Amino acid sequence: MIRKNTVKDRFKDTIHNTKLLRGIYLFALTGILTACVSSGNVPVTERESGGDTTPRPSAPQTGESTEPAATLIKPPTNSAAQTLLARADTAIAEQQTDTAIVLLERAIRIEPREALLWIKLSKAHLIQGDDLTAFQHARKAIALAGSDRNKSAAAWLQLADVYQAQGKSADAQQIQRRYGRARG
Amino acid sequence: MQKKTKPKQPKKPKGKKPAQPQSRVARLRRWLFVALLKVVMWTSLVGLLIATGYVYYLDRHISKTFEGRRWSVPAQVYAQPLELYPGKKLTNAQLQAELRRLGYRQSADLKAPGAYQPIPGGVNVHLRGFAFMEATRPAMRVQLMFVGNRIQRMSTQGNPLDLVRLEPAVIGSFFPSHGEDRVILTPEQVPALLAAGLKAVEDRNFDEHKGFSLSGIARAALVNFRSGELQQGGSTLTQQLVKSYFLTNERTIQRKLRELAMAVILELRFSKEDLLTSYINEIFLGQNGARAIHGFGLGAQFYFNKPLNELPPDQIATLISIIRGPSYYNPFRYPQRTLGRRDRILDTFLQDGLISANTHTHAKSQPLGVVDSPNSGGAYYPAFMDLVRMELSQRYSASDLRSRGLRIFTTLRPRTQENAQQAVTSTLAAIEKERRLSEGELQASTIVTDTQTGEVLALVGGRRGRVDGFNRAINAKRPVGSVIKPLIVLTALENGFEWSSTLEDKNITITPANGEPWSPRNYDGKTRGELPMIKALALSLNLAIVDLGNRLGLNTVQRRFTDLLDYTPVNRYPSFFLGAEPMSPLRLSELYGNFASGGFRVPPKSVIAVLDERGNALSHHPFELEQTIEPDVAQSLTRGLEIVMQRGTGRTSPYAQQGVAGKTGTSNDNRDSWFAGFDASQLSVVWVGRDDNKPTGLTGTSGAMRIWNAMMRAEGANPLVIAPNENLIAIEYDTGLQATQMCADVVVLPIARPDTLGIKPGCKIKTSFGDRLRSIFSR
Repeated sequence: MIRKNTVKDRFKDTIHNTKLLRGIYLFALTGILTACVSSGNVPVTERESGGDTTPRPSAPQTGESTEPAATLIKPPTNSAAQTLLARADTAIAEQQTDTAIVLLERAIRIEPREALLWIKLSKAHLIQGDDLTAFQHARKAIALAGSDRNKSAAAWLQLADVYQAQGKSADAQQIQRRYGRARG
Repeated sequence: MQKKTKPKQPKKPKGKKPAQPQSRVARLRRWLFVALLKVVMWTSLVGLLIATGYVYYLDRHISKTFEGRRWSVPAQVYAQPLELYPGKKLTNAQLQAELRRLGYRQSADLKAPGAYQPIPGGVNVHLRGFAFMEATRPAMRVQLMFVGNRIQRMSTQGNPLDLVRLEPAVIGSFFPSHGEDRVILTPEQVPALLAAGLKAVEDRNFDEHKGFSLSGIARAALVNFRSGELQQGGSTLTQQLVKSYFLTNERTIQRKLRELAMAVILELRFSKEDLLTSYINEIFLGQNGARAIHGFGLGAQFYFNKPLNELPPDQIATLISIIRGPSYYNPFRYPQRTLGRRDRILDTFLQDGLISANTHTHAKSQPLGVVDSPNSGGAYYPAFMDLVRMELSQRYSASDLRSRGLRIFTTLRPRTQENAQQAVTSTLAAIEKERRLSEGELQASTIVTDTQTGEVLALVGGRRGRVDGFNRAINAKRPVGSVIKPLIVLTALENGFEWSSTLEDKNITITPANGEPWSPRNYDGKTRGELPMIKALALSLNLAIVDLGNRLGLNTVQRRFTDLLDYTPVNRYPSFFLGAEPMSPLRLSELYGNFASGGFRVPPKSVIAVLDERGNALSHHPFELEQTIEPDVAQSLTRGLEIVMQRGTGRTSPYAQQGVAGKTGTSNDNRDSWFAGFDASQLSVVWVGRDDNKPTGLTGTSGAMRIWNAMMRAEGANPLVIAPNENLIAIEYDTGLQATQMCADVVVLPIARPDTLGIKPGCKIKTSFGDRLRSIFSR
């Protein structure tokens, strides 16, 4: 029943006022920075020898610099999920995607309806070359993002990456045009 | 006589002319002598050969057994670890219960891991270290503070901590080769007091003897004679080890000799340390139902729910007491007798200088300290383990599983499992009492999964959960009855039907092309005429659903079944619409997983990963999902199943109004009572019935749903969330016409094409321009 490759029926909630959004982003960013400054104590996570031992600030570290859309998305509300997401990012950066997948699945058990975690999980599987799993996880992220436009956009862009990897450039570009990310 | 004449014989040849009769006698004698000599020689040779062969056989046999057991380190199976973080819904009391479940003891002394100490508003814990899947966490001291029913903050050595997990419970360990359950220790893991104590009590000359000990036997005889009871056995530890390898009860000299020979062989071949460690891992320490408790590692878990290295001297002495007679010195059944023997053993410890006088006094003042009942020590969930084994055999080759020291991480959540088991046991007992049924007549099974990932959190195979037996959750296939109806409704929603669509609830006789005529009835025998689809589902009206099924076509509905479950239904007749299709609770859970996850097939899964001895993943099973239903259709179905709970067959549940979705089911003549229900986080399927398949008199509501209610009471409901983009519209429950709360009895449901809705006269609903516009865009 699912038309896996048809994307045009999903674009309905993307029409938005960019200026207004930019304002919201700025406001959110200010809030986050304030939160950082005000928290005097630096929380530590479990000290795990295989993991990341440096204490990290509780500020969200979602997304990479190449993805402006993701950088400004509201982070998971749960601090434990945030921590795990940040650790997974580190693991991905260190090319330890196996570890990243374990960490993200842990985070999803804590906050199963957080689209960002599924997006990241899709990324990790895509890096490993498992495009089928990556595809389904991106679909899951889209379903969970619902009417949250930013998360929805990020999820769609992740699906575009999967299409790209599958050689379905046309589908990928269609999504990318719609969700405003320049290719490359 | 012959011997006497022998010396004369050599002389005979010297006589040149011996007398004829004399020489005949002499020749006969000589012949007899030679013959006898030959017989003796041959017999001894053959005897020697046979003896050598036998010893060789014994050697092969015992050494192979010994090596086999020594080197096969069992696979350890772990439950899910409990994640702790600020904001988590968990009370101080619940956390302490979890800690006790893991064998943490309450103590003011937190120097060693495995202890906790409550403080005002929180608890201090010294967590044990653990090698998790992705990282090793060393032992650490953590302070947790609570506010209300949540963790407020956590810290370690004064620094805030934002995430930490308890080590997972070991829920089983088995030798993939012979399936037995052990906790294997290496020589370094054996507590010194246990090793020394065993020798002191069971085998004083262990370090010197060569497998048997005459002085040991003599001393044992003397001690037993003096005390008048069987205080000491004459067998060495090595002999006992041999005996435990080949457990038989025959008491024959032959067996004793064989045992002795094997003990000597083992002593010649292996070091004392190896033998003692094997003994500690092997010795029989008790029986619980079908489960034999072998070895001190498992024994510590079974009797004290603690790892062996955390046992104080008195508990080590108790375990040593049990060796002599696991049923005679059963600490659950004969606590006084066991306590007496424990104290005598503590005295021996003192006499031998193994413990100080202070320790001795303190140890003797301690109560026995075993867990409340044989069923509370350590986590043992045979029904869930069946699923684990099934999955392992599907995914791994036998040779993979034979590699030593595997660590298997599973999805089980012990708290949920205990709650589910308790719900089954107590509810069935209550129903039997109310209905005056004989005790044990009813059976039940249940499976609880995570709605988003399909991970199996709990699985109950029958009312006696800790006893191995027929696993009804996996193996019992029963007709599912009305729990199948959401599938027909889903197919309808995908084929242009709305919750408001009118169905005919009237008598009908269907004669399939190659089958008997079939005249279904409603449960109450009544018919209700025209009504909207939502009411037909909520009240589980057979005739209206058959009408719907006929309009959709059996093939269309069954194709959907196959899409969602990846197999073809057995029943190819319209009675399929009413659930005349046998399914196991596990399968039904898989079907409902499609609904509960928001439109994804998430097959129930119990194994997360299998790690080898070095911690490398043999494999990791990622979350497996496949989108099967459009998200908005899946959402719509969930809303409908919420109405079933609020208004329909589920309305008597105390959780009916708390944002949960579910469906009851009853098979013909009340043989099977079903319930499938979910909230935002957990999907549960419950079956109640009888093993002999006779009617129970229970409906889905009065049987299975009550077990679900009890589980929810223990677990707490996590309400389903309505997404802001859902197109919810109020329609009249009886007619499906658009209406308002002011003018009709309404239910609020997503309607894909609101413009097609009829409007209830007199309700003053005007379709505004905006509404019409929205209805166009929401297509």
